[in-house]
Amino acid sequence: MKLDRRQFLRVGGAAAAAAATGAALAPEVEAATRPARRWRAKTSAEMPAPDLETLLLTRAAFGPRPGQLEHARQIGGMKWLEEQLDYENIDNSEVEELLLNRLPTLNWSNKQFLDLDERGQGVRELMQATIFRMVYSPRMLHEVMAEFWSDHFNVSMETNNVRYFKSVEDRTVIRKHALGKFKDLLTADAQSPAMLDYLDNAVSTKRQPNENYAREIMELHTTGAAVNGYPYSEEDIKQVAKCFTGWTIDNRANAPTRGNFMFNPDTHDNSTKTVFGEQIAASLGDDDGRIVIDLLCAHDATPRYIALKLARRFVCDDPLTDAPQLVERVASAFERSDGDIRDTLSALFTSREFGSSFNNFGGRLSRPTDLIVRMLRVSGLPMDKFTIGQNAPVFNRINYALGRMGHLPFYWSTPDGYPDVKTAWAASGVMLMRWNVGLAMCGVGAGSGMGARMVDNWTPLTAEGVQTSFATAGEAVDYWTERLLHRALLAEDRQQIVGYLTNGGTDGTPFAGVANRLPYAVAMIFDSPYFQWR
Amino acid sequence: MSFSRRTFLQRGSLLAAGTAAWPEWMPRLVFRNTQTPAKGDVLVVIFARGGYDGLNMVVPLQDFGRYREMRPTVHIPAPDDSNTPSNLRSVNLDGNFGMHPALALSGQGRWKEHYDNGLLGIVHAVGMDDATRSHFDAQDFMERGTPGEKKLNTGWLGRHLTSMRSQNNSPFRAVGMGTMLQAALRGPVPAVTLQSIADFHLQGDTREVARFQQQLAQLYSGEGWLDEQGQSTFAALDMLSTKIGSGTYMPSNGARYGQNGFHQGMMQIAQLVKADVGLEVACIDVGGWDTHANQVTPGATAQGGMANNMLQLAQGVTAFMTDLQDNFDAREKDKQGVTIVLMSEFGRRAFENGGYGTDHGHGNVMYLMGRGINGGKVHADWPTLAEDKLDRGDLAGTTEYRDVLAEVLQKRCGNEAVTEVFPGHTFNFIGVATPLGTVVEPPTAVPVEPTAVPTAVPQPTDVVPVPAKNTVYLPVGYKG
Repeated sequence: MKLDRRQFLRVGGAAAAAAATGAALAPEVEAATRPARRWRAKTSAEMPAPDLETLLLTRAAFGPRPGQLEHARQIGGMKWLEEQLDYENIDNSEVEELLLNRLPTLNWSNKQFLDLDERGQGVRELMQATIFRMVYSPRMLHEVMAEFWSDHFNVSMETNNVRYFKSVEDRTVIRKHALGKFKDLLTADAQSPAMLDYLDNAVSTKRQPNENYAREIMELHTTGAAVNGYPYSEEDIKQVAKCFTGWTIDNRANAPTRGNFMFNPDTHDNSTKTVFGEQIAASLGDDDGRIVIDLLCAHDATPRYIALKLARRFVCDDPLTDAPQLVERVASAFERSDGDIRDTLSALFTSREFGSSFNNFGGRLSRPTDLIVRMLRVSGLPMDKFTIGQNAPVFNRINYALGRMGHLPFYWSTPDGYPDVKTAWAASGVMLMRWNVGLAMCGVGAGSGMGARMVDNWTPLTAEGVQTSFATAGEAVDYWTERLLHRALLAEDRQQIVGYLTNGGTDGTPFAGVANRLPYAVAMIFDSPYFQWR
Repeated sequence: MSFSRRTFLQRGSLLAAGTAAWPEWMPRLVFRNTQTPAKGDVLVVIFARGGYDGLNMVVPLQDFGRYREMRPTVHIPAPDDSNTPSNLRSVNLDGNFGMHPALALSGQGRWKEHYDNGLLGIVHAVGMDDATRSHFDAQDFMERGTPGEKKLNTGWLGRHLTSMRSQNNSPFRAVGMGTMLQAALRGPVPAVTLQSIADFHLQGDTREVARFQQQLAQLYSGEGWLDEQGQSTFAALDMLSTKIGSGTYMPSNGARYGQNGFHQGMMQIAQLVKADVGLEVACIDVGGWDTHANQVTPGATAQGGMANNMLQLAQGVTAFMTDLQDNFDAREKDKQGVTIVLMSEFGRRAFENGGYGTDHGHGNVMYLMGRGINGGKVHADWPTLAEDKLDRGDLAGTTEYRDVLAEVLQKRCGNEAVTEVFPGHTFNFIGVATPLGTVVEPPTAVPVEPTAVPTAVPQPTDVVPVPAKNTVYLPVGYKG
């Protein structure tokens, strides 16, 4: 898709216009909004802000791999965004071929999983592929949105049968439509065996309708939760449940379509229904469900709820309070484009609120997966060091850490998906694990979970092309700050890290004498508040 | 839903494996120990996420005909149902109510013993003054303690801690087990959230990591939100090394905890109680109660997914009570008491849904355990299951949950300002607890047996067991 300058002006005002020309918009906003900094009142908003390209690459992507930020700065953030939205034209064959070669279940059908009674390998391989793509796929925004929709349409591997179906769902629902039309995504999800099983619609019949899916398709997938009977009443839930009766999973052992979506007219309730005051005539069969999907996509509340969730993902914890106009603008873009996810995202990323969000709202706290993936990306772990398949030590250590932080891919047990606000991800145990991951990343960890190092025979300090000799300790700290954070530290914090590297020395302390302490100093940059924010 | 067990399941437990070595170098930083013990009981709040089915946990025998009619394939048989093996019938409590055998029986959860010993009090037909059937809204309202209202950004336990005006500065005043702080604990008093005491330290070369920790604390010494999270973590690190130190935790009285997250979490709460770290409130979650489908095994309704979950829950609680036997014994006046509250966001629909399951409902059951609980009793103003007494097809609530919580806070935790905890609520205590200092001898002097051996707690394994909806298992072959 093409983003033109007029579009930016329309949706984003002056800030976006500045952004559209590739100019960083941070400084002017900063001057206007940032209070005088006081030492010891160090919020993320008071740290030196990232420029627009850094912001895009850490929020609309899982962090820049070496060279990517330079590229984005060269072409300008908006051009970068345009490229990423046009993801089908980004060649990802190197990553995908490697994945398929090592992880054969990635292109299995539901029937294959069921016929072979296989729900271990598929899960394991999908989890590996998910982290691997986050680290290496050149379709960076597509990966971010795949994660977003996986949360939005959460199904959990904790539910046993979902494990048969999740891999196919990831491929044919989430990834296929992640940057497509919302209605296609919702429809595909409603017919996804993983969702049909997870929210029990597969067993919902005319005789005994099950309300689980009917409730959540409204509360969580489209309109948001009802307040005092708006947008939906408890009676609407019962009616919607009737509409979806008969939407089930083909369970015939010998059918070529075994395990796929199937409409069963025998268990469908063909009576007349009323949803949101609209009457749905009798005997429409599986059109009942399609009509409900149409009604939900056309409902006023849906664009607002999707916009709210996107704004929360990319801009701030509480958009309704802090950026209500943004929510409204993104919702209009959704409405105008008939639920086109790319147009909706363009409105969001070209907004003033996004461009200035670090200053105005502070950073977004990295969720654990983002934290680890970004560590690997900014330090430039080469693909051949991230072994996957049967023997996958790097993945296993990542998985250990994510388990300890409560963020394993696809393991959130309830249908609301992993939370997206900072308070969910900074409990004491999680803080500690964040720090331990930094130590292990630099090869100076310990313990049974990750061991001394995240990657065998490799650390960020031994990555290809890194500078290894410096005249002074100060030079080394500055180099690693730029490489990992892409922005400066506050002077006081820089002094702390220099002091640590030199064991109480100063900027000018010769590097040669303290070189052996550098892994710890680099770990400290990872473990500092700076890296935790994005 | 369970925040905690997921993580435990991954690794099994280092504690249980007996390998909990504590590094000697643990630095003494930030924290200055000025805590004074709370005067009341330690409060342990277990939240069952997903809405457990109170009607099948504590069966209304007084309403049995109607109950069976509404649930032809999922009801739990009556205690005197001679067509059913005795271990698959409910266990008579008082003629009016019967307890699910997985909770009650001596070979299983053993809660009938606690009930008979006066340690377990049950409140039935508990509801919330908001009609929502949404999990997320119901949990949110319940944990905020303000049904129908989301203005107050603190949780009821957070406000409880604030309203105590305590001198207790321990970082362990409030603890949430798991990876995310329970919403009930939100508030100005910082709460520690952890999964594993044994692993709670920075890992690396011992001498260097001590220096690293001191330096890192400097980078988190500001007043920003993340700085505060860092500081409370450093305080917790220091306190644990001081008070618990190295070594393997050995449960007392032969208490045996299973490997699953809930059991391991309860064990760590017990460890904190014994270590005298200034603990006042602990929160722990137990998940898997959203039983829309396959709640019961067809033809053997006392078995199935929910029964397995109940067994795990009940055995974990029993292990905890065994481990802390003195704290539950009214004669041990020098020991701080412990009170357990077990609750869930709503009950399930009185009518079954046809998939051997139940949809979201309203009125539910709460459990209270402790030596100051008015136990051996089901407290209930039973609304009946008659058509015109239902709340939109569900058991009605005749006791508001805040009345139960507030009574416990006031009488067992010494809170003199429960109106600050539940603002705007008009209280109506129903007599679930006895005030602190009132010595209530157990009705019988039968101590809890010292051999609480969990018999059938599912263990993490590479072999996926029989599919049970909403149960946590590891990916096959998962090695972490």
